[in-house]
Amino acid sequence: MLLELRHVSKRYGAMMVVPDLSLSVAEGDFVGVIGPNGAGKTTVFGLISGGLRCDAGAVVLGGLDVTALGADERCRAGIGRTFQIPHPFQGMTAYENALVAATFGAGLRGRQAQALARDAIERCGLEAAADILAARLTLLQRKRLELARAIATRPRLLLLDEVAGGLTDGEMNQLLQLVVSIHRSGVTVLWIEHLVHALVSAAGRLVVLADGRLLSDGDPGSVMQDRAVRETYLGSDIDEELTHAEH
Amino acid sequence: MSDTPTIMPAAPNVLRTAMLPLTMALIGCAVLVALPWYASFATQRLLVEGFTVFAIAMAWNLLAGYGGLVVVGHQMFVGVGAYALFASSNWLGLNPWLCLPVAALVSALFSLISSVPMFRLSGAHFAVGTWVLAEMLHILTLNTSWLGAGAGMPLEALGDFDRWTRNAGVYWAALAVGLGALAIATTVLHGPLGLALMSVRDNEAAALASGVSVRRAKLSLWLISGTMTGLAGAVSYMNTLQVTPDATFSLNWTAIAIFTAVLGGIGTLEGPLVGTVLYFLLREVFADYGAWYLIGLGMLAIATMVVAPGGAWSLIARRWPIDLLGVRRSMPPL
Ligand SMILES: Nc1ncnc2c1ncn2[C@@H]1O[C@H](COP(=O)(O)OP(=O)(O)OP(=O)(O)O)[C@@H](O)[C@H]1O
Ligand SMILES: [Mg+2]
Repeated sequence: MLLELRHVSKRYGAMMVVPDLSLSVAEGDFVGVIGPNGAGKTTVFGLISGGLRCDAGAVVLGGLDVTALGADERCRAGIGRTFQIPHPFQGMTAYENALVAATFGAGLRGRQAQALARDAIERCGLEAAADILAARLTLLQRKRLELARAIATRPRLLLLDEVAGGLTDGEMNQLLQLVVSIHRSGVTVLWIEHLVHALVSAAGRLVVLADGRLLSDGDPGSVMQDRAVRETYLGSDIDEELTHAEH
Repeated sequence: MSDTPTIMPAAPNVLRTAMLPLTMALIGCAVLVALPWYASFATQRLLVEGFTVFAIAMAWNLLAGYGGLVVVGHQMFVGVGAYALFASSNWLGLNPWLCLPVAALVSALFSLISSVPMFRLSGAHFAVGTWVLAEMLHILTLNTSWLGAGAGMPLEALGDFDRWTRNAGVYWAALAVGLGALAIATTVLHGPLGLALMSVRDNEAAALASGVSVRRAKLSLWLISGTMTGLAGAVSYMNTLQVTPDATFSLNWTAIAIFTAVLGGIGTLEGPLVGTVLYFLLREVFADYGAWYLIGLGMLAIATMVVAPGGAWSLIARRWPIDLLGVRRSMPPL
């Protein structure tokens, strides 16, 4: 297993967000993560990446217990992530944003770091904006920059948190192809997205979270047939999508 | 299509544009190095102050402007550096200039040790904590008889040199400290540490998620700035020939550093340079007004923060698009 969450829990003050979650992800998996708003998806990514500390339980990466490690150490150990709300380095250009990740996340220096940063910027379609300050980028470009920075850390495990929000169908297809190609190059992918149909087409496995619990987990087809999943989503947009996907 | 035709004509241009600043810098250095042969002792002493204040303000600016480490007890580094120089030279009977590396080493060691308690604190606690530490050192030296207690120490070995050599030697040391501070700050900010610091300054969570060790970056900065300040403090007190706990560990040092950095522009490399020039101009013109001069300085610093938070440099940079010591890294062509 590349990643194991063992009875992980997290509360904010009195609010228990993740009561007791166990989850394993094998090397090379492509896992779609869905769940209603406030289900705790982003929180779980925080627990995996080390941005948040678990109250209890353990996070294991490639057999190594990383629970006590900080976010920077976990990044260097191979966990790359994007932020749902883009967190660019505002005072730096798009290229410099990626260069930070290539220098410290991937641990490269000089020309090697520059080449990796450049490659990430180009793969994410940002070459025209490379030398523009991140503060001046459009929301769409910032979302792409999140992805560029995450892949410039050269992760073994890539955590994508709603990178597709606000994309047109054409842009969505581009993004999908990009993520698939990253996955093909050997990166294990966990992808949170509300656009279920996009995840279903690419992911080999779908995980549904609700109230911080694992509601369903398995191949996308059977997960979408799951009664509990259908009930959770009853009447929501995703219910329509699920129904849509059936026909 | 070959690339060669486009590159060939460009090469002489690149050379020519790089030659001009280089030539000017070399001439500038020559003028500064030769200064003891044509300038008065008073001018040399003023410049010693200028170069050392610049280095101290630059160090403070690196910490606050790039590391988010607002140091209120910056005088502790000045004091440690100066006392290390005086004590080592007096005890060993050594040439004070040979003891400058000792002062730098002691300052570096002190920075390393002081980081342990200081880095447990953050924000306002950190700021106040540095002041408390500086005050503790002040009281400690006041009560340490082998450091001269309240009366301090003279720099005995300086008496072995004639007046010209003494003045010129201290001047050259200060010049080296000033230019060295500029060179080190520029190099640091152009290197990986600068990249790390700027990412942390912009967004700490994203910096961590990109693999930046925030702790290591801040510690490196603390060591560099502490050593820079200690060495500048040592040279500065060679100019006055006497260390005392009250002067050497005085909050004044921090006040001057903050004033200079704020006036010139915090978080830029040019800021301390502009700020130092402004500070000495103001002092030379208005120092006769006594207390009013100090009140004026304070008001000016506050006005700067309100009207132009980026300092004088931001006004200059807005008017003329110059990027003298810029640290932008543009995407290299393939
Ligand atoms: N820093 C915080 N402090 C307090 N409560 C928080 C914090 N972050 C998240 N929460 C709460 O925890 C719950 C889970 O939030 P989380 O962001 O993990 O959900 P999510 O599944 O990612 O939702 P969405 O689909 O809207 O992104 C929500 O009820 C949220 O309000
Ligand atoms: Mg979320």
